[in-house]
Amino acid sequence: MTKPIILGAVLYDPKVSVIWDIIREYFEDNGVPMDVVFFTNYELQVESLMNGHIDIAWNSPLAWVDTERRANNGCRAIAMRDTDRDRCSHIIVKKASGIASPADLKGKTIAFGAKDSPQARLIPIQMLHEHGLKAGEDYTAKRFDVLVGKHGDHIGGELDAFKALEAGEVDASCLLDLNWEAWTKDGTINTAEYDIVATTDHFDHCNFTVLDSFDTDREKAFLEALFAMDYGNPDHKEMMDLEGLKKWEPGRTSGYGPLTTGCELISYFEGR
Amino acid sequence: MSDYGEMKWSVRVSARDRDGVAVYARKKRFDVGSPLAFDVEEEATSAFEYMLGAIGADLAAGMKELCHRRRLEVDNVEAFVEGELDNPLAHLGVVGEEGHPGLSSLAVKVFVETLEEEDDIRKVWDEMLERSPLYRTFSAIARFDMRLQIAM
Repeated sequence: MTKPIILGAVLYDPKVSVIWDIIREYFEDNGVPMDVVFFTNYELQVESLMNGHIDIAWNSPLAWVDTERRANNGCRAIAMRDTDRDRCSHIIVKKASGIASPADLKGKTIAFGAKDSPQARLIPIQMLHEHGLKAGEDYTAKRFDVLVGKHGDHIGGELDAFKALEAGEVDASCLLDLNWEAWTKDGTINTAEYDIVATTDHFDHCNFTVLDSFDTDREKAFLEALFAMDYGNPDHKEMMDLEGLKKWEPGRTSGYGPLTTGCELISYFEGR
Repeated sequence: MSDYGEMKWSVRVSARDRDGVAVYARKKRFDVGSPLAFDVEEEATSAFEYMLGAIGADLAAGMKELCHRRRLEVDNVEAFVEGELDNPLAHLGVVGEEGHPGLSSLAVKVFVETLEEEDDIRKVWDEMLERSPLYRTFSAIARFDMRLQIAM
């Protein structure tokens, strides 16, 4: 029997296990036996990847940066969703606030998502720095630490940040572009009252990470099965909809610069 | 234990099929899916859902039967049962999770449709709870929030 590939994933909700059950079955049916190990946070998952307890990690962007740092670049991002590419985050304000540019945020209170959220804290910090606003000096940060350890996978922190803006407790809040789109569509955010005042550079989100020591034949088998998923195939569509993609793309690492810089600016890994 | 304590009930459970199990009770059979279902689309009823159903059935059937015996006319009895686990992620074996996958609380609302006096119905309700095997079992091991609502 072929040795199963052991894949790690972080669960913030038991319902997410259903998606991984379907994906695991798909790989099994395509001759690539796979075991999925769930973790309660990304730190444990990265630790397990480094120790060789898992072969592939479905990593958040921050977990990728952490792995790269700990492995001294001896790791690879082998695949990602089309929707992981070229994301951005926004900082939004009330239209009536008179805040019209990033510079106007000086001296204001900004609501961020969880401590470890790339999209709702670390990357916006980097963007604000580019506009001359230093963390801890030029604005007051109010953090919404929902499910720390899950790297902002859970939208709760971003939603709480927006609610603080809505309640007038803060002057601005940070959120991922996909959440802006979803919440303006479902009425959570009224675009007549709120506006985007700043947008980050594009960045990439999750990826499948392996260490350089991962067997190339097993990696090839995994990727062949993964890239064979076809959104036009009704049998694959449900699985891809659940995972939020239309196409698997090769992994790339060019989209993690803003996050790496954001982490460096606040010495994230040293102070964690 | 009473002199009748030796009376036992049994079922036979076979997990021959990959998806779920067959339960044989007396001369009847019913099928059960996974221990716990996280997918709303999952076809088979989970073991946990059967347990919730059994609690609701015990209370609704017990209430209806006892009302009948006390010559109280009841049109319908419905029970809504909600169960919460200490940590469902523990059931999935999530590395680093704390807690256990056992039952932590149950919330039950029982609706009784009747034109009888409320006091009479409540007396039967109290008696029924005293005599309910599942209520007596689960109220000893989990937080049990019970509500009776009488609709005219």
